[in-house]
Amino acid sequence: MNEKKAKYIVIPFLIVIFSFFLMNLVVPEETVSVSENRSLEEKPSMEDIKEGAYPSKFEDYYQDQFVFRKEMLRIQRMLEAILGKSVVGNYYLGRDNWILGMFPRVLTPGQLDKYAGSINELAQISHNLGEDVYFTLTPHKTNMLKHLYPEFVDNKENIDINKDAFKSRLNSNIITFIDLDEKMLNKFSDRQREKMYFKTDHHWNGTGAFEGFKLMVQEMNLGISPEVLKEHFSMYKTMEYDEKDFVGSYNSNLNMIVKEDEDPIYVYLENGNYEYFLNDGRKDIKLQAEDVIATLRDKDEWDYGGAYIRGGVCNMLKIKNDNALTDKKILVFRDSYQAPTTLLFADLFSEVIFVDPRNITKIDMSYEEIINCADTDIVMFMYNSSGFDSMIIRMIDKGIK
Amino acid sequence: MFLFVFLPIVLIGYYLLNDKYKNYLLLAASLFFYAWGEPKYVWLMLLSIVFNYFVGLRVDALSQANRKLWLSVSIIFNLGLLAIFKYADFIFGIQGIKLPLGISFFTFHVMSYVIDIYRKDTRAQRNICDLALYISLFPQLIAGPIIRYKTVDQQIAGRKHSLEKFADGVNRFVLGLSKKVILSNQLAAVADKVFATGISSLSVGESWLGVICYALQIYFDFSGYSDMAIGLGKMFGFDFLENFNYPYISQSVSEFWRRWHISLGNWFRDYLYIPLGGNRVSRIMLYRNLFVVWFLTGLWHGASWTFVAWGLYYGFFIMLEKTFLERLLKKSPKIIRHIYLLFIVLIGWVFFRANNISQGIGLIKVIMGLGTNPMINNELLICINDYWYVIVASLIFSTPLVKELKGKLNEKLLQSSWAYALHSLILIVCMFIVVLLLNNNSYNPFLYFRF
Repeated sequence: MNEKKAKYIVIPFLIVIFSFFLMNLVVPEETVSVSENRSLEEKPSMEDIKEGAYPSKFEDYYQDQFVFRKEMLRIQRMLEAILGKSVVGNYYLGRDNWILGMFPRVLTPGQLDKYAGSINELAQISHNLGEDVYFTLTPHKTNMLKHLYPEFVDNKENIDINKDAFKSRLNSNIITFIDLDEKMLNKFSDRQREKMYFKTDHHWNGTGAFEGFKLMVQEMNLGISPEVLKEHFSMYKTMEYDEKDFVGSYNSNLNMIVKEDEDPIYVYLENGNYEYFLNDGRKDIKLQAEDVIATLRDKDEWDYGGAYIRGGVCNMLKIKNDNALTDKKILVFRDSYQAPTTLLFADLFSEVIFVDPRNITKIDMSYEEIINCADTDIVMFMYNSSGFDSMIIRMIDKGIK
Repeated sequence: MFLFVFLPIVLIGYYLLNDKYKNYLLLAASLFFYAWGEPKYVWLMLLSIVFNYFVGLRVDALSQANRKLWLSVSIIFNLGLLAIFKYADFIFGIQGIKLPLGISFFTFHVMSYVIDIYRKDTRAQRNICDLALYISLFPQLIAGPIIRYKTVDQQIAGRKHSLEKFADGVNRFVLGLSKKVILSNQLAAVADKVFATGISSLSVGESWLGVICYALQIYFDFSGYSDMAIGLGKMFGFDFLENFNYPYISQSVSEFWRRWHISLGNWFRDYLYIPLGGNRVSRIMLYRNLFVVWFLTGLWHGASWTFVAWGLYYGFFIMLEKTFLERLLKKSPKIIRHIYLLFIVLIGWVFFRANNISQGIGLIKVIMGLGTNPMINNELLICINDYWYVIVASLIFSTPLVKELKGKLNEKLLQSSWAYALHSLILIVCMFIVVLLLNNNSYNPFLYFRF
């Protein structure tokens, strides 16, 4: 190799290492990685030097703040998809741009006993107050669209296993268990269920939520005849709002490598007369609809929470409706699957209180106290069939009593 | 961080400084490099350097009897450090002592230094900084190769730098980095998954795939680090000896160990096997020598009986080969010899990688089809679907196929500017893939924590 030819090797190498060296010095730091749903590492402190943790923390920080990290993550995901990897960034990529999540692990008997025990405890408290108790399992996309998964996925029964084992541990004398997974599977075909979920997000859309809500209400003892209910639900209108870009949660985690144009669907009653209140357990603070519903309405793009409601406003959210179908009051412990059903509840109940266990850490009340203060006719636990355990863990962590 | 902070800073400093200060910069960089990864035990390496520096001077200056005494003191001290910091649990059952990074490598370096002086193969280093540089030189500090003092003493005193040598270094470094990050780390994902699976859940095919991937992983990992060390050495003007030479094309166990971790094999040969009498002794003594060497070779790799079993396993086959098997193999077709070697090596890796001997035996039963495990399962198909291209590339690059094909091309074509431009492009693409994989928290296991 002569000197001229050596330059072909040396110069590009030096350009690469020195460019990255300099760029990493000047490019501003970021604090959050949206796609990974985590905070990025910060520069370690002097304290870390004393503890001997400085080198490892600095390496984590350097890696997190590496220039073009986000873009490189996206390229890697795209390459994984092109190479046909069975799992791309923790997801399966199905036909027609479907992004499919992993099935959860099977819960141990010990975990199930603990979770069901907590719900039984709260159900007993509600029952003693003369309230009806429901546990509604909302149908997670993972369990509803099994037919879209690759054949090699061999744990597709895990949700059903967890669901059945959990149900068998609940006190059926005082809790009405509403299994929407089973009802949706029985009522709708594979193709119909596909229309009820976002392709790039882990939630159902407005249509799925409406159909699920109707099935749920049929199982509730509200003192309303089936004919009246049928008529009530027949008044709903459907609208697909396509003027913004929808950012699906799964796609966001995959750095938006899937190009799918889909939009939120709203199923609504015209001329609703809702009053919104933020309730901290002591007093109500009045809110405007824009503070609660579709909070990202003024942005160019939105996600599921921004299009329907965010868990952040359910700390705690009370909606009153003088024109509701019944004068009953309901307290709903909810997760994000509940979001598109918010106004469906408000149309049916004169007062509904939504409590998101992930967002009430600052409210100094146990779940028993929340139930006592709410003083409703009905208490409902409404969690999705794939992650109901994580919501109950949040409740246990905060304090049942 | 090494690639885009440490290396650029050291390179700039090194080439801006006058020749007489270059070694000091490299020493400072090496100590910083070690302290960064091993802040707790940097004093241990410094102690070893200082102690052996003075012992080296004594051994060089004294009469034969006293030299022997100081050599013994040095060996006891160095092996004592290893016994305390690496084998305390294994030998004495004392738990809780953390293994200092690279202790096996720097201890063997420093022992080679004192022994070479004793043998009058070299003179003692008068400048303690130059000795410290030999012991701690960052390219080879963590994962070798084990460089004998007499092969680099002249280079420490003065070495030539040229653009051509630097280019060779870049080429070798990027090659090594790619072996480690692009091939070895991906193979590790398959191997680790298989070795983490319970024996009863494995299929025969999956266990074969896991062991083959581990064999390729450890080769590309170890030879990758050696390539990086050799490449970085060249960038700073050093010429280190080769450490790997396509070991998986061997046709006997003896040949395999002449091609695998050559510097370790040479160390044990020169400082243990030959002083014990080598093979110029009676058959019984030869077996004893082989037992000692392979027992210690196994133990060097890790303080556990699985490593000892692994070392003795090779010692046993080398003994068989020396007794009759090599003669028998020479009469067999090449393919048979090759299958024999690969089978022995793969089984050896099972013990090397297994968490304990019982897991190793269980896995071997599955590999042999002796259990009730199915032939294939879903996990096998997923691994093949996800990693087939890495496995195929690794199989190709573990042989000299590409080198031989390159040798058959027209020399004029290889020396053309186009060929160099293409070569440069390949290196850049490799660098890009490496950055992509490293930057995204991809799987990056470190195999040498035990050494």
